[in-house]
Amino acid sequence: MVLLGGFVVLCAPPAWRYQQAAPVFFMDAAFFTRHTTDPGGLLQYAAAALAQLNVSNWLGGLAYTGLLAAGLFAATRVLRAANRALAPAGACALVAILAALPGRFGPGVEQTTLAVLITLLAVLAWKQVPPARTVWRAMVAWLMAAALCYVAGAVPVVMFALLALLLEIARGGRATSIAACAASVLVVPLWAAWHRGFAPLAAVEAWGSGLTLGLHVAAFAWTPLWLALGLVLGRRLPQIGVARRPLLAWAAGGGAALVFVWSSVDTAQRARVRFETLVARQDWNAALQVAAGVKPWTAAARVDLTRALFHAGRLPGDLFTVPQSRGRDLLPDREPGVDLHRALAVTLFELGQVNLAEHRAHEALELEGARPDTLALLARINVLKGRPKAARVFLNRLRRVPFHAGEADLALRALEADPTGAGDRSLGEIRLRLPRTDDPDSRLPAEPLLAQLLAANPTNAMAAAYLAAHRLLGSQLELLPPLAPALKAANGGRLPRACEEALVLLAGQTKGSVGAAVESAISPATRERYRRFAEIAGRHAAQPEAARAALAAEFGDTFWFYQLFGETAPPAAPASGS
Amino acid sequence: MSLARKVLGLLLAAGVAVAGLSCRPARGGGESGPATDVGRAPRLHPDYAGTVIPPNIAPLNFRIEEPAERYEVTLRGAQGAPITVARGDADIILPMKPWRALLAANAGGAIQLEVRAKPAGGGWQRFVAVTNRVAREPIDPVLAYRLLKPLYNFYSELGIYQRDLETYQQRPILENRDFGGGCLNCHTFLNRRPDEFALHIRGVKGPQPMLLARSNEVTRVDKTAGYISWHPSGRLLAFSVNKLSLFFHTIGETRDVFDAESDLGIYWVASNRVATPPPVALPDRLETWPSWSPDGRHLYFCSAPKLRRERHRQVRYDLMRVSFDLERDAWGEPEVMVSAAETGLSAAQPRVSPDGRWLLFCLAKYGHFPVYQPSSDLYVMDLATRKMRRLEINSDQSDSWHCWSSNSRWVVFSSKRLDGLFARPHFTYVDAAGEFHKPFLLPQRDPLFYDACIQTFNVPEFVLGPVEVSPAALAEGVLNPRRVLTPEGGGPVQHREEQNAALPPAEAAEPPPPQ
Repeated sequence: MVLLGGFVVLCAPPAWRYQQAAPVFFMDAAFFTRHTTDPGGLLQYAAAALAQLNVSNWLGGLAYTGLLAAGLFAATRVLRAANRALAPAGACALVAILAALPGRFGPGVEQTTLAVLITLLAVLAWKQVPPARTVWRAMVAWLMAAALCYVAGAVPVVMFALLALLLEIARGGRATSIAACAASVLVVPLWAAWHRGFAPLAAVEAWGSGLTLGLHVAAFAWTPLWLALGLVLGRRLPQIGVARRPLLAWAAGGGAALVFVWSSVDTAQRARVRFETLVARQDWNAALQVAAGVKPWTAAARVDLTRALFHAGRLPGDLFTVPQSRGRDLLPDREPGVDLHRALAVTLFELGQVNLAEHRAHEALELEGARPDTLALLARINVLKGRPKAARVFLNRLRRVPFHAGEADLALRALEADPTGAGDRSLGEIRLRLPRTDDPDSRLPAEPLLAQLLAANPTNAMAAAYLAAHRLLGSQLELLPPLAPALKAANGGRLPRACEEALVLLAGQTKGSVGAAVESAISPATRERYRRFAEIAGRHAAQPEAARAALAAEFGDTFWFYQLFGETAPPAAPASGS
Repeated sequence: MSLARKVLGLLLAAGVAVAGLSCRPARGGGESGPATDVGRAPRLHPDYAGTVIPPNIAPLNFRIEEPAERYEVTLRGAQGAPITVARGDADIILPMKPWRALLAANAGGAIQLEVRAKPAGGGWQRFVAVTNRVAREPIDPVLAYRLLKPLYNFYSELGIYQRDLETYQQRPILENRDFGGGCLNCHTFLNRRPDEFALHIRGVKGPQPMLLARSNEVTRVDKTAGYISWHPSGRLLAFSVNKLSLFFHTIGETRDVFDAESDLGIYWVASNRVATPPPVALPDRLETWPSWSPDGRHLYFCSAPKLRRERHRQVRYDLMRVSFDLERDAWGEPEVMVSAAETGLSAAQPRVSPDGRWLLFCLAKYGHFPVYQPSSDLYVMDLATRKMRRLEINSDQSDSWHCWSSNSRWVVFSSKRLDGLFARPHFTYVDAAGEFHKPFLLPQRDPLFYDACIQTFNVPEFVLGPVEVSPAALAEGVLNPRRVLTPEGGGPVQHREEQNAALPPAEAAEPPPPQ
């Protein structure tokens, strides 16, 4: 189990999952009380509490390994009732299914695992009722089902009823007893009829799709199926393997579980979650290295990618060394993804658009819940907006999130000592970038918002880099020359590569009328490179696919390639700077 | 006398003396020992000092914001038994029964709050006593409000709740999770009766209905409306139809709402008929915020010329009223009560006191949505003299969403005064002369409740008793109604609100109405 637990941690580090989607949890009575009103609420509460341990790989790994071990024990005990020989294999397979869940990087991992475990324990408890007392067994089955429904929701009740039915058959119970136990599943429709707000299948909606959905379903269905198989095969199955060579059997089962877990990892999601975690830790270069493996790019990840490029000092120079395609907004506000608002909030905050950051942070608060990072951001936004008391409310809320009380206390003390944040260097930098005019809008148009920031503070290097990137992505070449001085100043006196490439193209299109200053900023090497690009492109002018293939390796990360094909073809790992 | 007797006598005398001293209301003394005077009042959080409180309000628990290792608090009035609470921490939780008894005994009088604190390593300190007056007139026992996070375009969890003001119990009237999401707004009670009310549901499939609870029977009316007001007869509702859009500023207050088109309409409940009286639906004007006078003979509303959104800062609403004859269904000519041209401010949310004497409303720099306007203040007009004044109880943040109690002595309003972001219910006592006294915050069991509460309270409405119709019955009225009415007649058509941002339906429903 330790080996398997360690392997799960390697495949899906709990800290990454915490960054991706830690369920909201507060250490207060009101939060607990909210979970006592609806069926399944207590399970949600317990799962959310357990998921808080994922803040540390060690704690999260230990807790999940413990759950898997308990699941193995309970499943083995339940499955033995039908067939002792098949029980260990069935239990190992269940544990493998549960162990594969974290690697899918979807929500509901702890909830499903806890639900399966609770159901198995309920079945074990119910089995303690003496077989001879048929009426008692049926009554206890109904009571257990009702308790399960309240604690864990509808799906565990279905699993419980199936297991009770099969175990009654296994012990040779009477038809009435079997029917009575199976009928305990009726608790669900009865509860739904009585409690209008109870949506029995609400939990299923969080299970995702494809293999992730399959694993969640399998986690609940596996034990009843294996039990049924054991019943069908009965004593016809030769008692080999486990009985004679138990160690070998366990080792084989464990090995198979490791292979299953490894093969079921959603590598694309894993890369994206890892990227997101590195961005959250502000490890920009590592994030950009990981970015090469991210596919597909969500709107939120693209927003983070641009920010990582900027902080690594590579925006807009290396804009095309990462995947780009025409038509994508630099600040997308209407693309899907609940995490988009959080990513936008951080970017807008750093840019200086604090009001718009506040808007997005509140959308994130509503759609993703009170995540610790959202609460901390809202506190900073309110300090900057001159509302220290509102900042205190968010920090007091953060104080109630496990493992974040210390961070919140520090911030509260700082706020007490300096309510305006005047002494906070990072806030001071943002304060210099704040817009000075009002530009009311219901959307997020990048061009006017970034131009407004530059008008307020021409030294806002982030706004200049973002505006250049926006104009490059929109192929607004004629708007680039005015930005050249600011970009050169921020890039050690040189024009960033992507801008140089664009200006070469512009100079060619306008027959050199871009201005002497801009002309002189374009290096001969870039001119020569463009000449070569144009020559190869011209050679394949009638065959776009051939041109693309010929240009991709050498020019796939250039503005010219993006301009010609509407997307980049960056190398597997982005270069470490231009 | 033997030596033993002498010693015994001395001990007895000393004991009597000590006992006598400890029982005396000694200056600077107390059961915890002598105390030095600090010479100022203690800092209390929330600020429950120098205010007027109802005789039936739940205990005003508070934190003493003075560093100490022991605290002793005594509440006393001219009548009744005093309450003493001694604690090792600064959170003072007052016992319910003695509190009620003390308030009841001192209704019409005052209670004094004496605070003593013992700092670490020091002696006891005594602060100047805090005095709160206890009004004779009770407050309506239930407050209904909507509870939600400070929303922008999207929402996930919100609900309308009822709070027993005599205890701390809060129960849902309806939460949006009861009917699979959607938005809930503008709960409006008929003469504060708990069994007769209306509210709106939006963001659900099909028509965006209004739920009518009449004698606790729920009817779904497939008529979308904005702000609503019951005629005191219960026979009709005035409602607004608005074309609202939410937009955002890059400096100052972030959120703003623009109303591109609006008119008022009337829904006749018994005949299930909608009408559009011309005086309140002029084609070149925006009419909104309908509110009936308690005698039902006037409809108050706000009206402004139609301007484009680019000129939103110039949109200022007049406060109007129009006479109405219920029996003849006859309307008079609208008259201006508060002119935007004269005040330079924009009016919203008119509410007349049940005794018909006072008109309470908001004035802000512009627009019709005061809760997003830090400049929004409460104003009162004496309807007998037509003189208006800005209330002294206003703050530098938004004060809005006010409601009168049934005895016209209490007003509840939502104020962002505590932190500039979250609206919290505050109560103020209005005396016979029309003076509004220092407001106090809705008390909670936990004195620090609001310090970590990231939800905002809006549309606080007094109710005369607990709402008995269950959340399940109301949810059923949305999902599977027993009775559905589709109003007849023309009437103004609800304009579709502009959707300011879009997410797939699985992630968010339509934008909420602004709070």
